[in-house]
Amino acid sequence: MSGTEEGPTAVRKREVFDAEAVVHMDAVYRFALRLAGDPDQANDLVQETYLRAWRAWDQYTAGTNAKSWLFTICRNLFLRQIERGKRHRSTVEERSPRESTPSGGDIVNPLWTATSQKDPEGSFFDSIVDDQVIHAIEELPEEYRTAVVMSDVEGLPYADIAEATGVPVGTVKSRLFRGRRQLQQVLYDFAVEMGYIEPATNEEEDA
Amino acid sequence: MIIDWVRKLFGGQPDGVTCEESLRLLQEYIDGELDHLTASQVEEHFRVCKACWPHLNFEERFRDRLRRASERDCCPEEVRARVLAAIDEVED
Repeated sequence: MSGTEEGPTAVRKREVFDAEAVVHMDAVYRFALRLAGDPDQANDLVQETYLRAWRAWDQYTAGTNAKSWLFTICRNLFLRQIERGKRHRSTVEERSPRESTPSGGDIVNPLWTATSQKDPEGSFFDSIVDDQVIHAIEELPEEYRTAVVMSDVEGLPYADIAEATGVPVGTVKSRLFRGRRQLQQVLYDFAVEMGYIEPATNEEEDA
Repeated sequence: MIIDWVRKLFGGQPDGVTCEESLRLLQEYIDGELDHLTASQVEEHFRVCKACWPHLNFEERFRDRLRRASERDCCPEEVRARVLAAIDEVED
């Protein structure tokens, strides 16, 4: 706390922090766990995220999305750790934002086309166990994983994801589009391997 | 009502948006990123178009699976306590 802050002000600050930031600790933990893939590292990331958020709380604009602000801090900490370990590689080739939404033949999900005869509503997704779903998410390139977790698991809007990751909204849409398709394919391959769904024939894939 | 039923049965297209437009807007529709009018038109299309609604079902089922698999992960109580204690220390 700053030495200039009086007791009641400090109490009020802590109350607001609890109500707007601490309330998201489960979400921050999930996000950290998906980024790091390791509970111990996730625990440390959560602690460091909240300490930094508390120290910088005066810079937070009340009423804005505290969850995405916490995710921003958490992801920056994670990327810095990776960089320090000199293991970071740019894992995805960024495309033009104009390519972010499906066009032409891409409008129809090719996996849906391949499975539509046997399973048009994607029931095979439900047959896959949680551990395998989580493993598939954690295997995505970091840029895709972050976008998919922020959007599909935590429900953040595109604009907040863009701000948290420092990229244009078009790039967020592109990452979501490609990340989801990649993840769906991995889950489908696993479902085929486990016999939950029959593999598509060549005719179905070409349909 | 009867018209809706006939459209759904035979995969006809309602007024507003085409099948191609609905499929192109599918991701943004599910993500709640469309303006109210467009979202209503797309919603109506998926409601009555027999050809398109399985695509919506497929994508929603996929997202639902991701959410359910992640729900089990909650911040452990000891971590929560450690974080709050660390903030208290900074406060002091």
